[in-house]
Amino acid sequence: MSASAGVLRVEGLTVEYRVGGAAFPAVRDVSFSIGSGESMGLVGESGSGKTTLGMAILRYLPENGSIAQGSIFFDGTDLVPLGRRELSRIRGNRIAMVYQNPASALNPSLRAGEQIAEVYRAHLGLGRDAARERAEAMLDLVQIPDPHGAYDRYPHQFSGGQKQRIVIGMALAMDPSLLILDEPTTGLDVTVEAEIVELFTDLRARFDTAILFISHDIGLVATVCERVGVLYRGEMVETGATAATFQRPTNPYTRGLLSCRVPPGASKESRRLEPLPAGSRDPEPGACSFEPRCAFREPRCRQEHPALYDAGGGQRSRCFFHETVAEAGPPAVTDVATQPAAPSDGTLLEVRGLRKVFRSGGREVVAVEGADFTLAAGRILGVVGESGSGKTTLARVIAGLEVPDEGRVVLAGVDVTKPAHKRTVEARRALQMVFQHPDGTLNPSMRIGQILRRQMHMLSPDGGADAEQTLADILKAVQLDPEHLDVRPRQLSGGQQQRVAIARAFSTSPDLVVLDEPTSALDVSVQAAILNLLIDLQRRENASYLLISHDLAVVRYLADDILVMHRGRIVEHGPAADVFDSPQEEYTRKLLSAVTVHAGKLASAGPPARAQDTAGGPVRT
Amino acid sequence: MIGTRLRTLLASPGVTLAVAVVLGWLAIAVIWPLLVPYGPTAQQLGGRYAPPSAEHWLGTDNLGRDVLSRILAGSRSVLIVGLASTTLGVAVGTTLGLVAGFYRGRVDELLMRSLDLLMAFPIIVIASVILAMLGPSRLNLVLVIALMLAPYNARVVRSAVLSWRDRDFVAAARLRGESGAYILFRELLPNIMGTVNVEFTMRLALSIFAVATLSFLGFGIQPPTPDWGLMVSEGRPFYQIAPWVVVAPAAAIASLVVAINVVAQRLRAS
Repeated sequence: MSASAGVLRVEGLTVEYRVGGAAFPAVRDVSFSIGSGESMGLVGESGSGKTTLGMAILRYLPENGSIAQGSIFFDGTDLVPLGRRELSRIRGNRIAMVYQNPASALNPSLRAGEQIAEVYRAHLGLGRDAARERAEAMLDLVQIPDPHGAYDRYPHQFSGGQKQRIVIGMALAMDPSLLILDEPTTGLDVTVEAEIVELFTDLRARFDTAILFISHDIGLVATVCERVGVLYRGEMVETGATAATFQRPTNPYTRGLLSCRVPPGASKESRRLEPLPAGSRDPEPGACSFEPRCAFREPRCRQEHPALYDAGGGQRSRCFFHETVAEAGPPAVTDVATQPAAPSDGTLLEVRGLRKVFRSGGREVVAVEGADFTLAAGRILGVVGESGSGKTTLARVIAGLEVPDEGRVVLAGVDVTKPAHKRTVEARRALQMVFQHPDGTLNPSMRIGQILRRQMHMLSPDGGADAEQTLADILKAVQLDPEHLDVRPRQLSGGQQQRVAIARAFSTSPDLVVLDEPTSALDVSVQAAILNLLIDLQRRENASYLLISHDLAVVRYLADDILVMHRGRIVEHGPAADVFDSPQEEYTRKLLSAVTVHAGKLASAGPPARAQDTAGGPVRT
Repeated sequence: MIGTRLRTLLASPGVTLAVAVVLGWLAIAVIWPLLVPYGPTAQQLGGRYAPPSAEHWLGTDNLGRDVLSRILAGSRSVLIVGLASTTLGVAVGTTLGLVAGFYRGRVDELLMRSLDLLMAFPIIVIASVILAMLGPSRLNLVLVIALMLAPYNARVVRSAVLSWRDRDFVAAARLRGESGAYILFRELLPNIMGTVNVEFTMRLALSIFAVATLSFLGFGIQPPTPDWGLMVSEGRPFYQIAPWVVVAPAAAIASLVVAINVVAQRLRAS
């Protein structure tokens, strides 16, 4: 591979957004290159500038964004000074981009095959029949079943995963020199994601396209890419070969990202997660941006900005102490693992013959059918399944946000098969819910204190006497400060918002907490801290959890028992270890194998544990 | 926050001027007795149809009354009726919109179809019919205009509610066992206040226009009370010999309505 030729060479790129007269750099002095046939991953958390970088390469920046400095060489031509016309020729012919949402990339009123054929007609000047032939071949290549029939179908007749395949087909049809993929599988189910990843690996062998793969998912990047760049606050903090970088990270941030992931197959009894501490302050201007969160920081880091040093093994790291970091190896596995769940002292939740049907416009959709299970006090039940499997509906019926068509929900011996407002105060106190979207879970017009006090006012039987003390306790438990009571949700980070939501749920000492995707909208570094918090609170309060998640590693880690749902039915239910280690049902096997596809790659790249004391500052996500 | 909002409002000179015009009329409505050179109803039959001059800046009308004084004094009734009917109309409309948007289903259907029915008639026609039956009075004027504004307001508020009702904090409130009224007015309303404020401003312009129109048609403010719409109507027969009697109140209506609309547009854009 001729990496030196460099299909894409980005040099010293700085992208700024102007907000109210001030310029905020989103990408700062980033350089990298990708050779033909090479694939490079860009990983980073939200706000790291990875998407801006992808857009800047195509010069698709929003109105207020601009390239302040640097060059983007594409096949030797600098794209930055190019005019609109020259640019659009290159964009259309030589560079293709695939975004997160496949639905918006396809024209809903044009047949799927036509949209690919159009590319052949426009770019290769092929005739109708020839273009159709090529388009069908491409549909076959991206593994759409029955390409001939599929050609004439409309986008809405395909599933989300198939739509993304068609978009990829369109991208490949122009035989681009560079393909930019921005979170191409985010939002797709794990099984579908696995198939798409497989498709990539397969296609990479056939096309000589350079690939820039942007993702927040380290595991995915480890599977798809040969090289990786890690972005933090708009800066490239580490680059190198994927395997080497993830095996021997030389930047504290990379190391932190790797260690805070939920290790595939791990459970809360086996090890505790290592959250990446959130900085308690912003970095000093002209200093290292990661310094406030860094476990390796020295006084020098607060005074000087580190360059991208050669860290050996082809890796480059933006850290003065890259050697120390490399030698440190992965953070030690803390042995403070949780005790296994205490043997149950009775049934807390009983669900019998639950059925929920949604009707709209004469059509009936059975969301949940014949759900039957019990949950013992003090245990964590994980509910897994793909989107549309009915897991969220099941949770909402149990919580009292939906009323079932048939069946019963019994909580602590009391029938609660009714909407929440018709349940007793005691039943409402006993069952709490934590929602998926941190930004939607708290009323933006209220202060945090108002939100929490209202919850306790409505549900605490003893009224206001101890309320302030309880409030102080719960804030401490979720690691928030009393000052946070006076702010509005907007002023908090996603992780902090989710902590408030958790505080709200626990402020009334619930017996059962329904967790609907509690960490899926959060960055990995935040996720670890929230999961640890959930485990601690569960132990402290001896509450039961009903955990809904599409992230099987998270479920494996937290849950004592697993319930697998498929098309509204419970297909498997048993202790977590049994379900994961020896799934009985075909569907469960398929679901689990999908995760191991890319999780496995990183696990094998993972170095052996090595004792090292991490001085990680207080967690203030 | 108010400061930033004010600053964005005053960002362009046009909007600044519009804000000044609105505030100016509001001030005049309050202190006009201190400003008027003549009594607004004082007749001077010897000086009828006097053109604008140093004594009468905007001339006099068919009864020799000072047009400027009548315009300054007339700002009060138009603003009182306009503000009162808008407040009532937006309050009712917002409540209906909240209820329809939050509860959806049959309540929503019933409410929205009834409002559609009300909206099917031209506002001025139905308002004049009702006022003809009830008899013209300020209170009736306020009630009728409010009734006419509410359906439009309800529609806008309903669609704003739709984008909030499925947020998780609403689900959290339901799980807590909050009453419908609490969810509507404490959880949802504060979040759509921006929309409600824009609505209020836009409806205010409409309402002032409606007050003037109804008075012009004789269903609103009755003579000899000084009122802009009424003044246009009274001066119309003499337009050929004394155009200022019509032009001046018409310009007053236009200045207020346009200024309020400019402010509304700006609010909506921000």
